[in-house]
Amino acid sequence: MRANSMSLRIGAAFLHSEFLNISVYRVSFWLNLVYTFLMMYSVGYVWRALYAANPDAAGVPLPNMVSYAVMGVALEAILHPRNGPQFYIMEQVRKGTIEMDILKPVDFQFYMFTKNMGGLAVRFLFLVLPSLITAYFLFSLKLPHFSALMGFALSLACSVVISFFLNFMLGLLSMVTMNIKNINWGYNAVLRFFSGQMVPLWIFPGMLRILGNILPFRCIYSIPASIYIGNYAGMDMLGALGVQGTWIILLWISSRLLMKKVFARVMIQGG
Amino acid sequence: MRNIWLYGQFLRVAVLGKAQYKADFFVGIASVLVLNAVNLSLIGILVYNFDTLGNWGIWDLMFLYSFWMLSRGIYGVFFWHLSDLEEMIVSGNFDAYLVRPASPFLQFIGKEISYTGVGDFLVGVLGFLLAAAQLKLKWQAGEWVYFVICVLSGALIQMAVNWIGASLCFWTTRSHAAMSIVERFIVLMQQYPANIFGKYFQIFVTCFLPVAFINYYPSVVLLNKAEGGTSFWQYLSPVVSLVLLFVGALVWTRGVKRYAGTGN
Amino acid sequence: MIEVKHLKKEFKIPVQKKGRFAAVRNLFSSEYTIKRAVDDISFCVGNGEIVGFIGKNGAGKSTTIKMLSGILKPSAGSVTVDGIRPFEQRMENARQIGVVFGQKTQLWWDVPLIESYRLLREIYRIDNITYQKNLERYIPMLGLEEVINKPVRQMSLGQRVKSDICAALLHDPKILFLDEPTIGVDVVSKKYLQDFISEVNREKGTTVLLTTHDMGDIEKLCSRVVVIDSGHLMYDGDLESMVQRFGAIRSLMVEFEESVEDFQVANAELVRSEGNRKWFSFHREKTTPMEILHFIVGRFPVHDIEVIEPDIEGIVRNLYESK
Repeated sequence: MRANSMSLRIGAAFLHSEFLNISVYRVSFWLNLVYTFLMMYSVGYVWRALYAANPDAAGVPLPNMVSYAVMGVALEAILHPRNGPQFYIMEQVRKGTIEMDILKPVDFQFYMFTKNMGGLAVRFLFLVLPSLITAYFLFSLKLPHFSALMGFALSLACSVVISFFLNFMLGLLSMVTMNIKNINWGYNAVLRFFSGQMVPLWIFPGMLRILGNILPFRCIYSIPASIYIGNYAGMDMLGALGVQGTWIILLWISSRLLMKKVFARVMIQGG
Repeated sequence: MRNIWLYGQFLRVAVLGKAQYKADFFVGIASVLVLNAVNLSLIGILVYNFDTLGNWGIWDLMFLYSFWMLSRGIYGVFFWHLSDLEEMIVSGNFDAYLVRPASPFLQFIGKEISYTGVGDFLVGVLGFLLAAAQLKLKWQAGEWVYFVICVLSGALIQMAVNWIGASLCFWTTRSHAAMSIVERFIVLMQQYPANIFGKYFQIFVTCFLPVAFINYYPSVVLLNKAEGGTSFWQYLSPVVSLVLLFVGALVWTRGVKRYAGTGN
Repeated sequence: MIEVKHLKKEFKIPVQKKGRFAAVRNLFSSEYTIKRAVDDISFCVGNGEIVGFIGKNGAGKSTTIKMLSGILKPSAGSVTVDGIRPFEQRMENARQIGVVFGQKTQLWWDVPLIESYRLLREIYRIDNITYQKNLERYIPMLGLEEVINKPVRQMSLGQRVKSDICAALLHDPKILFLDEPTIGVDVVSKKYLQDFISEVNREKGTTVLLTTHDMGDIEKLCSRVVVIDSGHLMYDGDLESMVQRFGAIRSLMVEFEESVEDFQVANAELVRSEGNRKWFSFHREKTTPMEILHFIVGRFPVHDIEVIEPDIEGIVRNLYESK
């Protein structure tokens, strides 16, 4: 009970500080909003141009495809690795103050998670929601059925957790290798490719599609967006949520194990 | 003349400095190659499914992309560190340039070179050769000259856009966010032919943020993609680059003046 | 050499809004206040002088140095450095001054030190003879032989500051501005720096203006000090008269044969009591140690006494507090 109210307080404090952050850098906040609109607008046009040449190649109607792409752009504002905890961890490692965080009376992973959720909530409220509402009016974003909307919300929560775990593990790596800038770059590229954020996985050719379905990255963009446009409905939707759930468990276990290993190493080495 | 000589001296030291980090060199180039492979594969998958994109076939798109990479490579090698300006202003390190008897711009530009541009340029060369072979391009000397001039203009347009963006931090202190957004925007734009984006968007990337002149219009001209013949303004990349450079110089000069008023 | 008249510098500082929904309101606009970092300062520095520029953090020292070196433009008043207005004639001014900011380096981080010097030779167009002569003179003086082929990023702070000062003097500047040159520097390097600065001043007649928190620097180098606080000039004159004027509070330590109870002495204040010892502080013009002793010796057996004169650090502290 006490731990719960404490974590709530921590969460509220992070939310507040993130909030102040975006209001201090207001120029970049507005630019981010403009950028998100431009991106939604342009991806819509890419798909329209493609459909003009060959309307049946993607297997879904154009409005669904455009909604999928717009969703990919909107969700990028909260799911892009640049917003993950790994840069904070890397910075602390560089400054040599990471031990202070590790020794806090709060579980390190949980601490990073609440800290990360603060920024995420603020970006969701001020970037994702306004852009989706605008997209509904300007870019003919499709509204899903009630069940799909519920599934989407659940699935989005899962993808937030999955992307946190992946970013967190990258952050742990920085305690071992010091510089994860280049690794992060590679991760970014792989994520962009296999998450289906820009191009949906189901139009990938043979082997690439199979690989994409095996890797966890599709849980981040492809699954929630597919549920949203109704590509996964009924049993398919439950199946997709099951895949996400399985990955959450797998990634949770592996991140705990990795954390234990890395901490043991950090503590032996000293700072 | 003296400034060119001095720039050469700065670059010599910049290269010496970079040579200290050999491992970074290879990792940097490797990551550029991976990123380009991802970009190209995504376009490839799209066109594999849909055959064409706004009347541009796969090799046309390859040409467009390689054109961009060639200019981006040149821009990257010499000007990638434009985004460091914010950090220099915030930390006060920019002051050092103002107490020396040389142009602050020259000192800042000569501060560093970046090798990731080399990776981009290599991808550009490779992609261009492939696309040129597949498209069976038979160019006269005039087209080659125009091609080279436009690649250089494209590099200068990217430099000028980032120069203007970086100079904003003389007013707002923070410019990195704005620059990274413009950069992300350019990255997405340059991969697709601008004609697919509709009228307003084309006006935007032609008149307001004229990034369509980096690779789109030169490719339209060289691949003869304009419907109903090429219009004269589609040839204007070199002019656009000069105009933007002029604007950049203006913004920079005013920014440095303002810096003297406010410090950091 | 340096003339500063009624110099002022104002900055616009954004104010973060407070209260309900402050963060949301901040998204739309912000308000500013004017801060006067330098407020009507006048002073002159003569040819070949070493002047110490002291004051608390944020007192306006660095802002003044930045206006003297042409980085900042004065809001009002005038500055000339050897007849040149630094901001309007930035390039001309840059050729005749050398500047070192103790906390940041102006050298190229990743290349051997000598490469930085070579580049500076090109920037300042130093002729070969002067360049060689200065290098051969300064490098041994500063003990830089072992780091001349080392990149700056591998140097200790002391080595780095020494390298920076050497760099600032390669072109034989008439004036050297040093902003906190010894901050964080180890004792040995500090000694090198102090000796070096006074040597160069003697040999080349270089005028030096330095800001510092280190009173050792002041005592060792400066015949004259300028004290500023909150942008105002507090004192300008030689070191001795500053001690005379602001070092008015002296103290007397008296050690008794046995422990005695606390007692009062006219015109003096008992400030500390420890074992058999007691400390009294008093104003130079109100009483003398003899008067106090006279009062005490008649009442208690005295074992030993000591008169404590204020040190410069204490004087400067007094100076700030007296405001």
